[in-house]
Amino acid sequence: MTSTAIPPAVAVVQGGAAKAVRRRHRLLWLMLAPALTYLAVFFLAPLYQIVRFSFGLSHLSTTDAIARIRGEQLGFTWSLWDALLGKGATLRVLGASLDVPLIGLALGLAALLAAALLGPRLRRGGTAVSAAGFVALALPFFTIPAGTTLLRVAQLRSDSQFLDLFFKSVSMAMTTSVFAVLIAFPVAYYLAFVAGPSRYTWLLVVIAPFFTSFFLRIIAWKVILGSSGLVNSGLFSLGVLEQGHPLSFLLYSQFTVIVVLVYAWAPFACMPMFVALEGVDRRVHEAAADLGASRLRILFKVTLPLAAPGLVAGFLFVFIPTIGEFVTPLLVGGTQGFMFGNEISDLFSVAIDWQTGSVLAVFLLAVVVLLTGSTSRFLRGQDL
Amino acid sequence: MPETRHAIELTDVTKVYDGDRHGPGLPPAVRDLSFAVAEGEFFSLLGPSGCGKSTTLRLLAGFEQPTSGRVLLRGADVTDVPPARRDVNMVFQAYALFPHMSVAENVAFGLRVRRVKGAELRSRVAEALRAVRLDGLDERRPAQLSGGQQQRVALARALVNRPAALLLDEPLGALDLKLRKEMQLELKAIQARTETTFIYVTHDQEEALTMSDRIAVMSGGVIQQIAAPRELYERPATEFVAGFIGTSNLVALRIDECVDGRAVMRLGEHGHVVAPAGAGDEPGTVLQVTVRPEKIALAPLADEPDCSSVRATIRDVIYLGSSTELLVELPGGETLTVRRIEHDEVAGHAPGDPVTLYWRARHSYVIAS
Repeated sequence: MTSTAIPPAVAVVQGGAAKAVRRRHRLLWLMLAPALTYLAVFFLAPLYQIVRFSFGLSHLSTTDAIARIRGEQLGFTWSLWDALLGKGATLRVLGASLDVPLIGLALGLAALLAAALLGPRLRRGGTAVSAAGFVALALPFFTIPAGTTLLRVAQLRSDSQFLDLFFKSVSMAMTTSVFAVLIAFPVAYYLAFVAGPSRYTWLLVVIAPFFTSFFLRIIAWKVILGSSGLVNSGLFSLGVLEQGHPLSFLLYSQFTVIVVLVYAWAPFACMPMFVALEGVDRRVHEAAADLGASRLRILFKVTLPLAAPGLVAGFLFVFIPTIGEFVTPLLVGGTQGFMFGNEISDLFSVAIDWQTGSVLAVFLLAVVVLLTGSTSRFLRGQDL
Repeated sequence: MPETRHAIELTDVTKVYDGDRHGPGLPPAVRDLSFAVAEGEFFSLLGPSGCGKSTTLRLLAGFEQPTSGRVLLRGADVTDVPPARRDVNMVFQAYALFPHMSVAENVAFGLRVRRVKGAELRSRVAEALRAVRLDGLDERRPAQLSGGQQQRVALARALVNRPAALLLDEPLGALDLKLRKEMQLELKAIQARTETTFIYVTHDQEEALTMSDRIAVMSGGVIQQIAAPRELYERPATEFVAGFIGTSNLVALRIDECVDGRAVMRLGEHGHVVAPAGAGDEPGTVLQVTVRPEKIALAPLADEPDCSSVRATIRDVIYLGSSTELLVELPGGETLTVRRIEHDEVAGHAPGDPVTLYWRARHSYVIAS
């Protein structure tokens, strides 16, 4: 008899402990229940529906006959996804161009992402591999908006209009994120290392714009960038521009969308970088200075590597929301600033093509989930 | 002084931290510090927290600028030279290792700054790691090492640059007692082997006594005494030093007579204390007399019959393992600590019992007031 081996008192204690653990678990689930219910009803159920739409398993028409007339799919099909993904893409680097089949494109991007994320695990040269991966991944998308033209080293185009638009959105989001990080880093650095006890007051100043509505803040940019806006009229009165010939690219262009998005999201980039920098032990800086390192060397060899997770997080904090952005382009983007998010919005509300819209929405979601999942290490702020 | 080149020299260094906008200026963190440390010396700055010892070290490293006074390094004035260009290296209290670099990369950091490359870089890093007995752990990250190993990495990272002086800020503070004892001996050995000048900051008097060639005892921002460990222990210059180094048995007594260079202080029927008389001592002078606990005997000394002998009352008997301490109360109300190694000597004594204390005249040390 095994039960006799346990003295009764111990058995009671064990039983009590197990009961307590069970009770704690039950309480936990009870507390999570509202959030989980909410998630199930308002996220998972619609998601299930749009996934069905994206494979032609659902259609919007009341009968199959009407669906056939309206050109909707009536059963499981890959054709909607084929239409999105196209057959391949063209990579243009400076003058040269290279046609890449779809599978090659997917493998190439996956390889670069793996190099960027797994690089630090290598025994030697990990940082270099990782940095090279990030740069190679960013390069086809990064642009410097200079008026009506966008300066770029490389560009990725697709034969599918949807994927091409997606690449354009990635490009705009990428550029926005890079500039947001570049602008926010000195602020985060100042807050973490220079501001001293007043840092939290300054942090409040950084997030002060959020006290007004997002919509108002975007509209304010129209006042600044419009044909007779602050910038143009300023240039008129300085005599730089001739009256009646405003800089037209200032409003309703990709340039505008990027400028406004950088403004709107830079504070978000600032937060994780501030947290990461604040976590860097000042004595490590002192140790580096003591060993003879210049301030620039300390920044590049000590501060930046230690704050790298914060930098990546700052980038993603901007990139992930802006890649699906549709309000800002709608307000200040004009036709040139049209983004992937606008296409989705239009397919659902104007063209009433929910099946194509669903494909685009699921695709966008998948990309964001992939990015978040693969970089969650950085978002958790863990050590490299 | 130009004939002997000191590794480090401070002259009249005072540091006053500016008061911030919330309050007035603070009293000086250190005041009129002047001392010189010879090449290859193990020099300790000892004192309680807030005594200015860490500030002194930071002044030497260049992290703080003195309000007045000069700092000289191997004869050159470095008062206005920033830390990066001072030929001293610091071992920080919390090590401050670079967490994103391997042990070898940590050690190589200072050399890379000095553009040491290739084979020389590798051999010097290996040599430094060997010196601190860490060879074989080159590729580990600091987080994968124990506290004692991290301590050694910090030491190697500083030593590899062959600095004019190594500044150590309570480097053993974070280690447990056993490891600390081991590291004390090892630090001393490394110091001797590398012939590096060590400036060692600690609040642990035993640690300072164990390792140092000379110790500067600091209190309230000023140096109380600079002396070799033994002199510091046996001949404390001030009341503070007497109290901080070991247990102070301090009694203020009036001289009754001076004979043969000995000052005798009587305690009525309770006995008398004998001390070596100083130059200006005469009957009526009040002396601060201190005697170390282990110098007090409980039986008359055969070879010195006219030594100090004082009748007192036992207040407490404390068994300490390797020794036993008696806390005794003198007729005047002062408490003395007596430490005896032989437990048998103390065996018959209990709190409340009368006891007679004996010690040699030369063990009564008179503190200059």
